[in-house]
Amino acid sequence: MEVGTPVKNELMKDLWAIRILRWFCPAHLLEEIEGDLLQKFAHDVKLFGERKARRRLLWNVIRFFRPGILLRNKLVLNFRQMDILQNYWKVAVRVLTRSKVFVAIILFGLSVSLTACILIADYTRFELSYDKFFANSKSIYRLQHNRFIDNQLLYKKAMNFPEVGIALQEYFPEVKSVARLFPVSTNIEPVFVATTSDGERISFSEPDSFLADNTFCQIFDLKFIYGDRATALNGESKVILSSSTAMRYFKRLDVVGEVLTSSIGMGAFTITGVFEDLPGNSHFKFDMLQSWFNVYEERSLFTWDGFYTYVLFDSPEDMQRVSARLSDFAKSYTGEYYKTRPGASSQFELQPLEGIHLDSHLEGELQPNGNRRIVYGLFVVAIFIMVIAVINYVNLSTSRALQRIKEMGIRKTIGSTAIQLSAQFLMESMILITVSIGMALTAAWLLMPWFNTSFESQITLQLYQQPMFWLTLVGVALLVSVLGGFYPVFVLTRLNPREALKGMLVKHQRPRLQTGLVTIQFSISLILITGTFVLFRQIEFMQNKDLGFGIARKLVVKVLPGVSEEMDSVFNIRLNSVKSEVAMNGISLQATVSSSIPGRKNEWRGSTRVTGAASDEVVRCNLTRVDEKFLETFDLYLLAGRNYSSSLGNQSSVIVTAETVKQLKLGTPEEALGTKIELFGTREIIGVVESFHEAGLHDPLFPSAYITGAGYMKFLTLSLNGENLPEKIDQIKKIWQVHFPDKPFQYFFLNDFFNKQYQSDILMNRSVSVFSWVAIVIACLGLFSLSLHTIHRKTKEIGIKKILGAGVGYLTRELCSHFMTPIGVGAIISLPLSYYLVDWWLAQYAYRIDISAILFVGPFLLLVMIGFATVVFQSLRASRKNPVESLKWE
Amino acid sequence: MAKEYVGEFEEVVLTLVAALQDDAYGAAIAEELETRLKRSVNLSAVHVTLYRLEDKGLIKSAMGGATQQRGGRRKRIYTITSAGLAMLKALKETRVELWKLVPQLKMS
Repeated sequence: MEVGTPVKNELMKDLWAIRILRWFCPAHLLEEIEGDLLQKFAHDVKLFGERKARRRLLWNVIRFFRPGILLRNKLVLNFRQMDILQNYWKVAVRVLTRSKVFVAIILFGLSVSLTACILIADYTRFELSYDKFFANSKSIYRLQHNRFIDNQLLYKKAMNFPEVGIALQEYFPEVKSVARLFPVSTNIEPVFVATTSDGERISFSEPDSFLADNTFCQIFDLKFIYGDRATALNGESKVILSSSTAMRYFKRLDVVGEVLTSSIGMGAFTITGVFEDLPGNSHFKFDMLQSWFNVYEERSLFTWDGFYTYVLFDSPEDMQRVSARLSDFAKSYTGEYYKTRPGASSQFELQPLEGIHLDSHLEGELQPNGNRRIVYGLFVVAIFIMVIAVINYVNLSTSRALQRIKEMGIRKTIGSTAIQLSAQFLMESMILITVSIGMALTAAWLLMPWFNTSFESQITLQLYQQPMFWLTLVGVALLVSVLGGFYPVFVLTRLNPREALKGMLVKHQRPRLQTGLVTIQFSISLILITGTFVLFRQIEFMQNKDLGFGIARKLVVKVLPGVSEEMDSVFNIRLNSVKSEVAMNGISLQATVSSSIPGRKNEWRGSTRVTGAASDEVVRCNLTRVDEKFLETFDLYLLAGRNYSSSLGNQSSVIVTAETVKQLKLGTPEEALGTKIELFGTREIIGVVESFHEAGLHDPLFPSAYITGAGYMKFLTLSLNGENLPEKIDQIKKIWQVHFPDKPFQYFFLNDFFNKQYQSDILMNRSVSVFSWVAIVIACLGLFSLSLHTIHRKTKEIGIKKILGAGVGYLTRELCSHFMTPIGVGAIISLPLSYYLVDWWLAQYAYRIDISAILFVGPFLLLVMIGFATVVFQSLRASRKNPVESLKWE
Repeated sequence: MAKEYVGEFEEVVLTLVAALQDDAYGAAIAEELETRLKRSVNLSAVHVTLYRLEDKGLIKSAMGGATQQRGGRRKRIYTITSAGLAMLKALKETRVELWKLVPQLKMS
C-alpha cells in the first residue's frame, strides 16, 4: 500500500462531506469509516488534486447512504422493542379472544354509544350551521320590528314596514345594501303555468315564492347555474327558479328566456336565472323569486309590516354603530305617523343572520325555527350515553383485570417494569377502542338515512371531512383507553408480586368504585326514562285533548284564488256550485269556504276595541273571513246569539270567541251581544262561540273574530261522512275540475295538518326515547356483565353456603339484593334532577299535564324491573348449581 | 457452516482478510481489490460486506491504531475466525472436487 506525504491536517478539518456522513452513519461504525474515507481522500488529493478529491469524497460518502449501513442505526434496539410490542399484541389478542362475552359487551356498548354521539354531533353541527354557507353571512342582519301600544310591547315581528329598509340606508351611510323579501303566498297562493316545447301546459301552485329586490342576489350569493346573478332580478316581470322548480316545469335546467304565466292574474314572467336549490340548513325556503313590483300603497308604509328586510354591513363596527342609533332612526322615521297616536311606537332591532334559525322566535318567521335548547339537550343526551358506555368499560376492564393478578405477578417477578405492565393494559384498551370506533363510523354512515327520515333532519355526515372531528376521535380514544386502563394499572403495578402470585389482594376489597359507577349509570338512565315518559304523556295529552272544534274527517281543498278573482261573481258562483254539487252527491255533510282554517297559523291579525272606549282597551285578535256554514262545519259551539244567516250583507256584524269577550271585558257572552266594536268599521257582536284551541296547545287561547264578505277565501273545507275516502276524494276532484279546469286540485286532511304542529314535540320525543333506550340497554349490559363477574367470583362461596344448608331462594335473594342497592341509590339521586328537568320542559306548554308521582314512580319501577330481570337469571342459575361443581371451581 | 451461503464478493473479501492479517481494514482491502484483482470497488461496498461477514461470524474485529493520514481516526482491524477459515477451506475443496469432474481438455 502506497501512501504519499501526509496531507496537512487543516485540509482534513472542516470537510462537510464528513459531516453529512455523521448525520446518517451509525455511531459505532463512524470512526473507522471516517478514517478509511479520509485515507482515501488523502490518496486522491495526491493523485487528482484537492478539488477532484473533494468531489470523490462526497461521492464516496453518498455511496455509504445504503441499507447495509443505514439499517445498522440503533435498529438492533428497535427490533427488541418491536418484539415486546409484538408480545403485548399477542397476549392482548389471546386475552380478548378468550373472553368473548366481555369483548362483545364492551364493543357493543362503545360502538353503539359512539354511533349515537357521531349522529347527534353531526345533527348539532347541522343545526348550528344554518345560513353560514352565504359568503356574507356574518355581515347580514335582519331588521326586526317591535311594536308598542300604550307603551307596552304588543309584539315582536320578523317582518317590517315596506320601505323601512330604504329609509335606513338613507339615514345611515354605514349600511352597504338592503334587500326586501315579500312572501307573495300569504295573501294569494300564486299558480304558474308553463308551456313546454311540445305545447303541453303544466301548472303548479307555488307556496314558496317571494318577491325580492334586485339587491337580494347581491347580498345573498345564490349559486347560479344559468343566468347572471348580479342582474337577474333587474327590471319588471323577471323570475329566477331553483333547479328543482325548473325541472318540475320544463324537465331541464337551461330555461333562461322561457316564460311562466301566472294563472291568477299577475302577468307573465321571463325566467332570467336558475340557481341551485337552497341547502336544508337555511332559514329561507324559496323555490322562486320574482322581481319586485309594488304591492303596497302609501297607506301601508307604517301599518303593514309584512316585508322581510335584510341589511348588509361592511364591518361589525358599522353594525355596532348603526345598532346603537336605531332608536333615533325609529323616532325620525315613524315619528310623524305616531304623532297622532299617543303611546304607540315602533322599535327596530338587527338580528344576525346566523342566529335566526336557533335564537329567533318572532311572529311571522319564514319557517318554524329550531330550538337551541333542543339541540343542546340532545347533545347532553349524547354525552350521557357516552358516559354510561365508558363507565361500563371502566367497570368491566377493572373487574377483569382483578382476575389477572397472577399473570401480573409473574410478569413482575420476571422483571416487567410498571410502565411495561401499563403498556399491556393500554394495548388491550387501544385495540378495543379502535375496533369500536371503526364500527361506530360504519354504523353511523349506515344509519344516516334512517336517522334523517326518523328525525326529519338532513345530515350528511360532513363531520367526516373535518380534521377536528378526527382529532376529537383520537382524543376520545386516548382518553377512554387511559380511563379503562387506569384503575388496573394503578392497582396492579403497585402490587407486591408475592401477594399477587397468591392471587389474594382483591378478594378482601369490596368494589366500591364499581358500585359507585353503576349508581351513576342508573341515575342517568332513570333521568332519561323519566324524560321520555313525560314527553310521551304530554304529546298524548295534546293530541287527545278536546280542542273545541272537530278536526276528524275534514278535507280541506286549497282554493288558490287569483288577484281580484274573488271579487268576481263568476268565481263565487263556481265555488258555490262546487259546494252544492258536493253536498248533492252526498259526499259531504257540510262545506264551508274561509280565509283560514283552525290549526293554521293565521297571518291576518287586527286590533279591535269597543266603540267609544278609550284607546287603551285595544285587543289584538285573529281575523277569519267565513261563510254561514263555518260554525257548523267545524262543530263550533255557539254560546249566545246567532250564526250568520247568509254570507252577504253582514258589513256591520261580527261573531267573536268567548276569549275575545273576556279580553274586551264585556262580561258574559249574553251581555256581550249587541255591543259595537271597531273592526274594519263598526260592527255589532251577533254571536259568541266557545273558545277553541285554534292554534294548538303550545299557545294560550288567542282572541278571534269571524266576519263575512268577499276576499282571501283560500280554503274549501268539506266535512266528509262514511267510509271509502279515496273514492270520495276522486269524486270531489272531478267536480272541482269541471268548474276550475285551470286550478290544480290540492287538498289535505285537517287532522294531519293540525297534528303537524306537534311535529317538533313528536320528533323530540322520538329522539329522546331512542337514545334513552340505547342508554338503558348499555347500562343493563354493564349490570349484566358485572353480575356475571361477581357471581363468578363467588362460585365457591355459594357452594359452601349451599352445603351448609342455604336454599336456592335465599341465595338468589342475597345475590340480587347485592345489585339492587346501586339501582335504589341511583333513583334517589336522580329524583330531584329529573323533577327539575321535567318542570323546566313542561313550562313551555300553555296546556300541560300535571306533574304527579306516577311520572317518576313509573320509570323507576320499569328500571327496577329491567335491572332485576338482568340479574335474577344469573343469580338463580348460580344458586341452583350443584355444590360439587361450584367447589371444584377455581 | 455449510448452510451459510457466502457470495462471490464476500468470498474474495474473506480471503483478503485472511491474507492481509494485521493490516486487514476497510480502505486497505479496497485498495488490494483494485490493485490485485483490477476490480473497481466502492469503499462502502467493502464496508457493508465486512459487517455482513462479521454478522455471520466468519470474521471478528477490534479497533487498531490511529495514523496521521487518517486524520487521527483508528482503524478497525479484521481477523478471520476459525469458522471463517473452515468456510474458506470448504469452499476451496468443493471447487477442487468440482474441477475434477470437468474433463481435462487441452487448452488451445
